[in-house]
Amino acid sequence: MPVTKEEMKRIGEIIYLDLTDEESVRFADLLNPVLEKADELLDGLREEPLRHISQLRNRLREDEVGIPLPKEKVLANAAETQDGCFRVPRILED
Amino acid sequence: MHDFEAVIGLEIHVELSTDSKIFCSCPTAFGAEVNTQCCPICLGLPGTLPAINRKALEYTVKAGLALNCQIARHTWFDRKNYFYPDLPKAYQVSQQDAPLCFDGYLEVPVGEGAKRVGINRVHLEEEVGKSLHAGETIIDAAYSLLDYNRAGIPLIEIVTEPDIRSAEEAQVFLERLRNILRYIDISDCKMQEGSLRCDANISLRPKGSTEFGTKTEIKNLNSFRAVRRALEYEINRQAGLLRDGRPVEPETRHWDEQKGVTIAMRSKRQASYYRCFADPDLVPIDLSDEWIGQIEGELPELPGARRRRFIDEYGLPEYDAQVLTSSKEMADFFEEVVQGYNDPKTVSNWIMTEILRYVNEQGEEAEGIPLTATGLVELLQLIEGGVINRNQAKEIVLPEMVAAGKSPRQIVKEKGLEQISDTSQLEGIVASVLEANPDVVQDYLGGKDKVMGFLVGQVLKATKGKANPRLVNEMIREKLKR
Repeated sequence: MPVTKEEMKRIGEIIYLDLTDEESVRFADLLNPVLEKADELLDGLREEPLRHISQLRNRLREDEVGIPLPKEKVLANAAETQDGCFRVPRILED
Repeated sequence: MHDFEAVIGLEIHVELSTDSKIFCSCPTAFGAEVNTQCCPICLGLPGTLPAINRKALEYTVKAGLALNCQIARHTWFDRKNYFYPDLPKAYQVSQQDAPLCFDGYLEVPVGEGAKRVGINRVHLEEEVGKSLHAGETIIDAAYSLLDYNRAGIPLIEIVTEPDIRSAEEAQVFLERLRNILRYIDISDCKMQEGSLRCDANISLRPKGSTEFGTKTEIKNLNSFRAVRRALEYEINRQAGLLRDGRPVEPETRHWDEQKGVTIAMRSKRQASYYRCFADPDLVPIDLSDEWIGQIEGELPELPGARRRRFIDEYGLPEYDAQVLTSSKEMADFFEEVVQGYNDPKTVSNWIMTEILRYVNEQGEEAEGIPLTATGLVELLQLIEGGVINRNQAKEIVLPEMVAAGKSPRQIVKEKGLEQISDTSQLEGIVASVLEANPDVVQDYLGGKDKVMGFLVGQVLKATKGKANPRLVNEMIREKLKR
């Protein structure tokens, strides 16, 4: 099932990209051959999706407390800080 | 509301009381200085690898077992992608497709009977950081400040089926749920500190209908009272719309505790899409029957079983058993006191009236019972031995035990409360009371038994309440033999 222009627009919205009609068509045209190829590869291969490559199971750690990073290091890469916190722009959209 | 039926489902988030976070060894203590309990893993820095905390996993299974759930034999974690900055990774590790626990139920009392509220799932995920919004709420905030101390604390999400039919039922369900989680000791469940949080989904439908109406989700419910008030408000609001023939908008609404209203926060018309996929950094988990059995073996006696045992073993009425087992601490306290003072009904009466009053004064977030079991045992023995009377115990000794943490014997001694149970000490006082009240004595001799109370009272007054009333009663009767 190829991706339609409308679906492509919706995919854009989900990842916060405002696609024009023209762009939606162009990206759908680029995406569809990839999806077709993927369908071919997966067809009849397995019922359950392969979620993990590794065969490892149950890699757990015990509930033990270690030493956290010093606060200066925690904030070292923050674009903006205030009162020891990361300062970020308005969260809800208008 | 006569024409509509409310359909309510709850989503409850509970922080697990592990010492370290779910995927790293950062501490989880509440109230630490901001951004001092973070490391490269919970900050989502490149090149780090998370590892699952065994205890968090086992606590989740405990919650599932206590809520009569099935436990998954094979499970994994998913990444839930979104654009809020409350987690630095831009995704939350959660369980979308394979919750650890599913298909359970919790029985809650409704009217005279009980009903089962279905538990759709209990899954494990990571807690998000704390956002401090510049402004009154997130709605009008110009910017936000992020503290990631909380990010990565293990969190379970409990989702009920839409089986709840009233605001009151929702509150009772939540109280029962918290009680169970405290019994199994996996969380401190403090709504004030946010370690237990509740969101509610609610819709109305015409009575008798089996279809669902359009629902709204209510957030910011920070106490049992808020859950109940917000749902009552929302039921009325939706009923008003529907009666006027107007639609209920599918949206998230914010409960404003001060104003007592819910406010539209964001539309849900466009469903969120989180692009969930299995987290490749976390290997899957297989749970063997042995492992689950071992966790089950660690479960304590749950409230329902304990309630029945209190009735059978101690001969308590259903009501007493219900009240005493409504918190693990109180039930433990009761059993400890009965060990030292083997009169269950008397102990139960004391706890349900006197002790509970002190607990209730502390409000919803009761810190516990403000005295020791040995203290109460000693107090009851002092009453039984006639050293003090019941009123002195309630009005003088108990408050002092709670306030100062002293032993009853010490308080009795300090306050000079020992009852006078020595007839030779009372003889003179009894005689003078009778002498001073000749009319009353005449009434008594004439057959008015009721005036005895007055005479005993006068003796108690003269001894500042220290005379043993039973003894005084006997002495007066003896003197005035008719």
